[in-house]
Amino acid sequence: MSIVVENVSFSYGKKNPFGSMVLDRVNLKIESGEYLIIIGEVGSGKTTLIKHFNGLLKPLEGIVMVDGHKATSAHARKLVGMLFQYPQYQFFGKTVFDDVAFSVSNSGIDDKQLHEKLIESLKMVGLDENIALRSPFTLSNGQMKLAALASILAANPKYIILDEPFTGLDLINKKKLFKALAKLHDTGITIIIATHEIYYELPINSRTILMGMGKIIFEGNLEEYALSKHSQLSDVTLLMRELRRRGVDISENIFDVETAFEEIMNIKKVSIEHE
Amino acid sequence: MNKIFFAYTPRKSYIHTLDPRTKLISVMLLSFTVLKASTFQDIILLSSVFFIFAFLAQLGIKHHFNSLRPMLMFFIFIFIVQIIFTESESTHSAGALGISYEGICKGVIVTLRFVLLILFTSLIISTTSPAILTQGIERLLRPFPLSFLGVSSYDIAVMISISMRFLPLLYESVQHTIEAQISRGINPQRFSFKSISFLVVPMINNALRMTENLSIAMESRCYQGIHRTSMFELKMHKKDWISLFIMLIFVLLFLY
Repeated sequence: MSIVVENVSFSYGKKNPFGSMVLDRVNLKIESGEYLIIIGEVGSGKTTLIKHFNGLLKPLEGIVMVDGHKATSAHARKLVGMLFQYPQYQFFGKTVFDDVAFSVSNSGIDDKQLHEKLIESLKMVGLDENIALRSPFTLSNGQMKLAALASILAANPKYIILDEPFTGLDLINKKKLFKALAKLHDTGITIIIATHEIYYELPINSRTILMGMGKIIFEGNLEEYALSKHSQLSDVTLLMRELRRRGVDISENIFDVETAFEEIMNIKKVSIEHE
Repeated sequence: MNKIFFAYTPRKSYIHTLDPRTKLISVMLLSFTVLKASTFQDIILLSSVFFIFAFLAQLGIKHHFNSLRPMLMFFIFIFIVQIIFTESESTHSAGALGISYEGICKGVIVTLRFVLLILFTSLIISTTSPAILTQGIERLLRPFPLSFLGVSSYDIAVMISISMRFLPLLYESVQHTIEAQISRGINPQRFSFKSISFLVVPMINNALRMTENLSIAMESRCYQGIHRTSMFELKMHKKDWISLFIMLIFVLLFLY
């Protein structure tokens, strides 16, 4: 069970071999249950690639299969949920409830079950159920993204693709989204994130690919990417390395604030015990 | 990325360098001829004029024809309406709806009239920057006494140019919504009244949001509308007068 991208090439312009290709013979296999981060500069082809996963774009060459079905088939689309960069285009219900209920209302469940599903989906993304009766267009950007994610979740997708999910979010909503994604991943849902910015709050051992000029130019986990020539070390890592250089017994590969904080607190404990 | 329709594309062609008033008056004159066109010969003649202008604009025919795509449903609708409701005494009429040879001919001509109107509009919009176009409209409307309506010529010019500026953005927002719907299992090709509401609700919301943002941006930059001066005053050159004269002669010959 996986998403298989085989030799996929794509171009928005002229369909000839001389036109510049947005995707150039990309090969990728995403196993069910994976946490995949696709990093790349603006225009590197990451959004184009993820739009192939649920059949929004058809490859000029190559093939994309989702669990053995063509990505453009109705069956494959049901398996893949997509959160777009601009969630305001994603809503078409009058209220958050209508929107979240859209995907499940046709599956023959009664009103009570529908309500339960709605509450469950909203809770999963950390949203209060009070917003259910509000128009999705009156929500803040952060709430909109979370509500859009809840709408996708209600349809029970196996794969969730998120295009630049953290852009424009404040710290609180960012944390909520990190938490929600971790929770979803724990339930077995495959998470695929396309982002131009690296976030060390994401699982450090998650598979990471770097795209450039329509090709995959790096593949490894987030830690390997952070230490590779393609990435610049974060301020936190630089600080921890400086502490280590000055003789503090501390790990050198720490990338996020929370781990750094824990590490520093441990040093304090050790020194207190030593005294 | 989808192609942006009705968007200004800078070049240094003959058409690009004409004064916006020349282009506006020419398109207005051409619109009269288009609306007057009643035979296939008229349509062919006006199409030739369009192809000459498109050649002079150096943007490629495809660029203008792309602007027809969003209107495709409208053209089909117009064509069908003409076929069904054209009264005919011809013996060739067939079917319960009275489809006749005359109806088909009229349908084609009326549809092509609209196609030409859109193409001429595309020509002026893609060769004139919105700021210059606004200035041209304002300058043309200035002699008219509009103050009794509570607006100035500049207000109307800005309204028109903003409407044109928003067309491609609205089209893009509809495309985004359609993509979102496809990814959630709606088949946009399967027509239903419910699917229209799914498209219209976010579109109106986004349009209102864009309008609100724009009005705030304009107010924050002290936009007042009335009594505005321009950094560069438009000036008609020799080639503008010659182009207008040729256009006038063509229209007069066409109409009489």
